[in-house]
Amino acid sequence: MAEDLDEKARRVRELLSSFYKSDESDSGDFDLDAPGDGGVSARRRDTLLQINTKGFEPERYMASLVRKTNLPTLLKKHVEVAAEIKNLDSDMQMLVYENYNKFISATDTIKVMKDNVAGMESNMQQLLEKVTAVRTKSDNINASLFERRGRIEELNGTRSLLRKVQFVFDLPKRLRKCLKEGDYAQAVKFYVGASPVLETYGSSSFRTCKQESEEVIATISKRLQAKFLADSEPLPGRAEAVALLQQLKFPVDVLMDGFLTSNMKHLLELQTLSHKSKSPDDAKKFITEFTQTATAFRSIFPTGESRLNEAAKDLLDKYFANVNVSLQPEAGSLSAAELISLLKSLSADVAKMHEVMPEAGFIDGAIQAVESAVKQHVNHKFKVLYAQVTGALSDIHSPKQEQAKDQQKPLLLSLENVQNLIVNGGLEVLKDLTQLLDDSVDFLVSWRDAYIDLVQGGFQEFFGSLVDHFISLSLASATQGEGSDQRLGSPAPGFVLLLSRLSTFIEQEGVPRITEAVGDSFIGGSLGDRPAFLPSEICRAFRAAAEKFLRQFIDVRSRKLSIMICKSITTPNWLQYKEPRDVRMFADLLLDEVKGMEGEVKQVLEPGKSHRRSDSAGSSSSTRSSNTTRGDSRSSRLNNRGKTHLLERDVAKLFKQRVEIFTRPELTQASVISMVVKIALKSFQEYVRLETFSRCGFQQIQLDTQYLRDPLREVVDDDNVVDFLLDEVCAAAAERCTDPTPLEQAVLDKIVHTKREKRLDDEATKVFI
Amino acid sequence: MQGSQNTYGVKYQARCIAAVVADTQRTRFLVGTLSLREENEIHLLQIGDKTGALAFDGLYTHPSEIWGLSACPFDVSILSTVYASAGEFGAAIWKLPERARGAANTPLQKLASLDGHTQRIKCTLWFPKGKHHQIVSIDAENLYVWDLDPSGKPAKELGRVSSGLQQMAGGCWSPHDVDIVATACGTSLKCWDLRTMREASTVDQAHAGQVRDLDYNPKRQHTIVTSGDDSKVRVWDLRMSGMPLSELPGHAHWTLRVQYNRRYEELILSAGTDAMVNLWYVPPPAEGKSKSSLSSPKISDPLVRSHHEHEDSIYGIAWSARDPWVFASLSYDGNVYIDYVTQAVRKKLTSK
Repeated sequence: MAEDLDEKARRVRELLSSFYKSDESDSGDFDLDAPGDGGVSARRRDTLLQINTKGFEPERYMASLVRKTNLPTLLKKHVEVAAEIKNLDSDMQMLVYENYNKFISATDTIKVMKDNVAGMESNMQQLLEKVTAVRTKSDNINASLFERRGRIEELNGTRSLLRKVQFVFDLPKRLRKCLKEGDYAQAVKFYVGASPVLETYGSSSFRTCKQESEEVIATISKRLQAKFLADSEPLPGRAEAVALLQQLKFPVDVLMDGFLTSNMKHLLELQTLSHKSKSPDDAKKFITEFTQTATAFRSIFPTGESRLNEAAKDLLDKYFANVNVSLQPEAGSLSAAELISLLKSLSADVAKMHEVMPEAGFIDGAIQAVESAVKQHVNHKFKVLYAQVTGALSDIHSPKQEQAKDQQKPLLLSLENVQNLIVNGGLEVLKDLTQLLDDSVDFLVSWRDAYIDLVQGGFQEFFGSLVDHFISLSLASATQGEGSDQRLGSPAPGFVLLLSRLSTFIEQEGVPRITEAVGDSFIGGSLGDRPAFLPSEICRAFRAAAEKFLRQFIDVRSRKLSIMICKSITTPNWLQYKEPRDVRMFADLLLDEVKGMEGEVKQVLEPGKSHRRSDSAGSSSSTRSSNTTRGDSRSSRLNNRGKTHLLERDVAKLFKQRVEIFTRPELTQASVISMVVKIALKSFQEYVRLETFSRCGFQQIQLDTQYLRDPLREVVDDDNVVDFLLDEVCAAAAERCTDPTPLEQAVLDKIVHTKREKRLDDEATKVFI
Repeated sequence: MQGSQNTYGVKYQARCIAAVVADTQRTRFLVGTLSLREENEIHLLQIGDKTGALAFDGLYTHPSEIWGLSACPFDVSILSTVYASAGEFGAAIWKLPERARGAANTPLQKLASLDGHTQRIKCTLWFPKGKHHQIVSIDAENLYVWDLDPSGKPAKELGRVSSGLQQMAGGCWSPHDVDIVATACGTSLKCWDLRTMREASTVDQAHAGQVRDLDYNPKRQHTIVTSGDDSKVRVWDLRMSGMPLSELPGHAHWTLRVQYNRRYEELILSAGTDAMVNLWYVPPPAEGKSKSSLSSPKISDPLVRSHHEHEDSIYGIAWSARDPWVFASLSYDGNVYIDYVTQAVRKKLTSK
């Protein structure tokens, strides 16, 4: 049965679908096939299959069926078709039956709806009637009331006006009453309330009334002012008075100003007093007064905060001006300790004031003041140090005559003096400034780096200006030394040497020590790209300066010697020179000059490393003998004139140790002296080469050089150089001589010996005197 | 080129060397000897075109010691010398005789002598522009102007001027203004106007010691380089005599000679008694900012070449008249060295 049911359902669906769809598919087919004859023939062929389509033609179907099929099949077909028809009939029946039910229920529903709508019509009609009635009534009322409304409103206004007028007329009375009772607040309230009316009509109808009330109010305001000004009055009362006055449009600003100026004046007086006396009590008094004033003002004028700030700022400016004055040393320098105590009290004061008035910018001001004070302090420290050093230097530079004579070693003393000054002074300044840093005054913390930079920059500048000062001094002394200073041991060259030594000292000791000290306490800083204190740069500057000064000293000294030599060579007429009897004067002068220089150099400079005098002292005789042999060889060479002599000279030169004459000078006694002597002797040689000598002239030169030889060897670090150069001088004289016959060694020795004795005697007597 | 022989020794001591300025085809130098007791000579040296070697080209005898030597700027065969020997001194104009082959020592032909000096003569200066018969001679105290008569008559004195107490050591005739001669006068530099025979301008205290030599910048009218006993070399602008335009460290002892290169004003040659020849590169002062260029720290070392093969003091230097890159130096022992401007410097100069 179930299968039967399924089958049925399927069929019904098929039928339905065929009913709705076959048509379309068929028409589609038709459309497609219509154009061609082939299409028609095809349909014909397929008529057997088209039983379910719309265009089914039973006649043709039958005909084709009969024509194509045989009987049994036909019979079978018949049975099939009959069964199908039966099925279809039953299906149709079922469909109709089902739909019928639905239709009946729909009809029922429509009927019920129709009944309901019929009742509503009458209800609506009723409602409409009622609304119309209401409307007419309301219209009636409106019309009747309209006439009276304007009148009532008018009456109402008049009544309130009358009430006001009454109030205004009563005002003076009321005010007086209030005045009597001291109830100012009430009075002010009344007055303020009435004031618009009085304003408007005061000139006409209410004149007397206005005048009276104004009189009363004037008294009130006077009383209020008095109340405000009275210090004895409690603060709330005063504040109330001010508030009332403000309501009365009294210029409160004027009051404020008055209040502030009087108070501030008082404070300022206190302040200056405290600064003058410098006693902490006064300062405290100032602070408490200030606090009181500020609180009083606050409570009296709650709205005047900005005014207070302004006034406080003014006061503050004055205060800090005073502070600055007290921070700046008037005479002499303020030590860091003093500064610290000042700064500390300042910091405490300002902290208190700041509590009272955080907006007034006390802290900023204080920081600024401290900053400028510390800056000034640092600058001042360096300035003082610089002044000390330059002062000491200028003392050396232009010494008093007696002083120079009194002291055995003026240069040495002043050198030590200045050295100490620089190093100890520098360290002291540093210590002083470190104290400031260590004692960590509150304000310093915020710009610690800047402070460090400041100190470092101070040193940088100090040393920089010191170098500049040195150089300017050296230039000044150089120009001075040119012309006027011809005295022996004149201060100018020695001073230059001193500068050189000082520069070296600063470079090698001063700067490192200060750098170390700076490094100990002033680390960090460097707000800029590079640290403010650059020891290497300073060292370089000082090294260059030292070298320059040394060169200058050597130049000046050797020039002086050269000038002496020049005079001694160019003055005589060498071609008509007489037999030499004695060493000439200039040799002694030269030695004196060298000695003077030696004195200076020995005071200022270190002895130096290569001093070979001690080892050569024992063997002086042997060197002497070598000298004589050299002299012999020279004389033989010179006697043996001819073209070969130059060659011979060259060969002799080859065997001689080639002596470096012009080396770089070091800052040692021996090196400097040798340098000067070397340059002088070289000049000697050059001057000799410019002359032409007779035999006697040559012998004189020979004598002079022989005399100079030993004393000069004494002072020079390398004997060979002196020997070499003096030999060169002799050789040059020989070359420029028409008849170079040397003096006999014995005669030479004898003259030199007696001369030397005599010089020793002279010196002894000089010392004796 | 540098590898070949670049030295020559005259047998005697010598002080003077001069380029043969008139000969622009060859690099030739004249060297005068200074021998008290032997016969003095003038050696004519030439740098071979192909070999680049310094070779002997002629030898002429000269009657006395030669203290100064300058070649005539317009005639290859004419030169002037300053001489002295044993109390006698003088200056003369000479002509190199035609070369006689085989004859080793040909005496010079004397054209004229400049008589009348009372002091040792320091130098003679030829007229700087073209062919002209004026010549200046300078002794320690006086400056003489002479007119040379080409026909062989004695030179006529045109005028003289005395420097006073200061010893003159040398001079230079301005190539820009033929009426001006600059002299080294004691420690200062003095310029004389030949028309009025008066001092035209002066630089006091040009050096701390005697001024030894000076030379006009070939390109700039008022620029002079000086050298002196304070071993410095200084460049001056005569219009601003207070401060030198630039100062070179010079030498370790006296700086005796200083000379501008004729073609490149940047090159200055100096020599001194420390047996060194130094070549300096001094960039010309930029207009308007000479100060800043001086003070700027990034200035390169002006010393571009230092020649140190000499063994004795150098009294003579000379630039080649033909090749601006060649210079010769003469030391007291008679050795002449040829040296060259380095390639780096040449490049720097020619690339401009």
